Amino acid sequence: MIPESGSQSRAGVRAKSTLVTLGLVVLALPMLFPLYWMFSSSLKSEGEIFKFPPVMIPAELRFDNFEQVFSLQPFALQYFNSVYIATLNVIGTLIVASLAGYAFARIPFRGRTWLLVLLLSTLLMPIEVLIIPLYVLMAEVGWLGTHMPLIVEPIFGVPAIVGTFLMRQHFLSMPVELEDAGRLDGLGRLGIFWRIAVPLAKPALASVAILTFLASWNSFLEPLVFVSGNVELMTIPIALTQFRDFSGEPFWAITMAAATLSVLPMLIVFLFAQRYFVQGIARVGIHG
Amino acid sequence: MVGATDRPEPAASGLRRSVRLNYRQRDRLSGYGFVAPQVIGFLIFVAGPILAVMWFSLNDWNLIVAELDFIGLGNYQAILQDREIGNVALNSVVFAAAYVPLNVGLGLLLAVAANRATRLVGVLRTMYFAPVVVSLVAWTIVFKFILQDRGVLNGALQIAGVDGPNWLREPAPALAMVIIVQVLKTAGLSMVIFLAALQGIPREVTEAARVDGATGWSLFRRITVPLISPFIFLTIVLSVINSIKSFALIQLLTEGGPGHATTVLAYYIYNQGFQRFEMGYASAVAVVLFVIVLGLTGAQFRLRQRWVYSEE
Repeated sequence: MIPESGSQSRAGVRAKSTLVTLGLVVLALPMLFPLYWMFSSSLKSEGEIFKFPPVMIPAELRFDNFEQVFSLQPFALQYFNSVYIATLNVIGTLIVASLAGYAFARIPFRGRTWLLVLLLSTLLMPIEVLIIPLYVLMAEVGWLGTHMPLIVEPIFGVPAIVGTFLMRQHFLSMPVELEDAGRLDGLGRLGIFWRIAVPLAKPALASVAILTFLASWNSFLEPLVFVSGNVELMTIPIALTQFRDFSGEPFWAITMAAATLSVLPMLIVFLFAQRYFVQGIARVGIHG
Repeated sequence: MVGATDRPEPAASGLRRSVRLNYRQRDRLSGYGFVAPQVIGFLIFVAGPILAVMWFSLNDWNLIVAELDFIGLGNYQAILQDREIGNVALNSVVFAAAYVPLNVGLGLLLAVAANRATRLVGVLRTMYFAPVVVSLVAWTIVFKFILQDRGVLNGALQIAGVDGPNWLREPAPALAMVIIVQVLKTAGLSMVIFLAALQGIPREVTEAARVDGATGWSLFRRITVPLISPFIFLTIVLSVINSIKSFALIQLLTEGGPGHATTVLAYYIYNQGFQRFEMGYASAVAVVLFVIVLGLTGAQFRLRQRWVYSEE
């Protein structure tokens, strides 16, 4: 006779699961409330921002906060900067990582193993360790005060190494027979790579693209060090810190409006494509 | 491996020898070609800077004076005598020691609970994952707003009759908040990873265990945990990485303050190098961080061999 787990009655089980659900909802509050607060504050007047008791819903919807975002700074340009830099990072990383990942997975060459170990040993390396020499390097080649460091460095730096690793794991799981068939058809390595391996690698490429885009979108230290001071070159993360008055005190309502604008696209994409996000993450987990 | 091998053809005359590479040699060359972009970039943007930062650390170099003055291990001696360094090191340890278990534990808890509430899993997953997708800077700035002395957290506490501290201006609350803000941002990621792991456990295994009498905690400990151990390991590694890469979070919330109460090693490098312009000294701190990270990488590698349950 299979023993009942515990001596819980059916009502007891239901009460327990309601409690669990309730607990989960409560725990979600600190995660969701900040987003709500950001959005509602973006529509408040400066007077309502720190009013006590806290104002949950603004008395009147101040859309002019959003206007101010664009008039105080070239925000649209800064937005564009973030987007195009992230896009270039993604394209560059996909190319470099898939080429290198394929070679590490499939092409035997001397030194392959220790080269891979060398690359992977830097995975934990924080950018803060490298930022000083990188700053010097960029100054030497005259790239300070331009977008070049932001475009080029992430393509070869630590985030891209993660991409190479992920692509390697993916290519390892690809059946060799397909490549052999390609070779029999007379394709060289590049042909096999381009015509057979890459088309089959779309899920892995998507994961790498998402990770790279997010890393680029969020990067803060690099833009701060390489292009600070020039409003027109700023990216969104830096721009968000710039809405201040002369004494350095932030315009909170306007900053919240800018933050809302920067967060909205990602949230919308996420809401519609969450399955791909989650699958991408899960895949990383399986291969990690 | 299937491959046609061309034999190099014998020279037609003694004067001219055509060198034809055989298939394997050509293949090897193509291998080098494929990894070249990554490797060359690595040398320029990672390996080179690591060597450079070691060299800089041996010099007294103030960015404004703009001269390198070789002083050997002078900067490292200064580190040992730096009154702030002990504080900074302690903060780094406290941050990591609190953040990693919280992030992993909370994520696991949420995943286990969400896995049970099967109807709501999708909704819950969205709710908890939303902070992960939001930009770190936006998230941190919102919290900076919320944690102001006159902000909504203290407002809510005041309604409840509690007098909240000036969260970001007092040492202990500031450090606590830095940790909490980071946990809230990333717990959703841990949760999603663990959910995928839990959903990957074949039903037959849990059923078989249940038939054998395993329930609740022992089921979790003996069956679930070993089966998801690769994912636990991955989450721990990701958490450690996150706790080292905490610059933006700290810069935006507290700028390392009050005083140096929330400065960690990574932040100290920026503070010394780009705010005090002592590039040589900052480089020495960077080398210290580098050595610590190397140690962690090695430890992580060895732990994975020993601890992660695998079917091989």
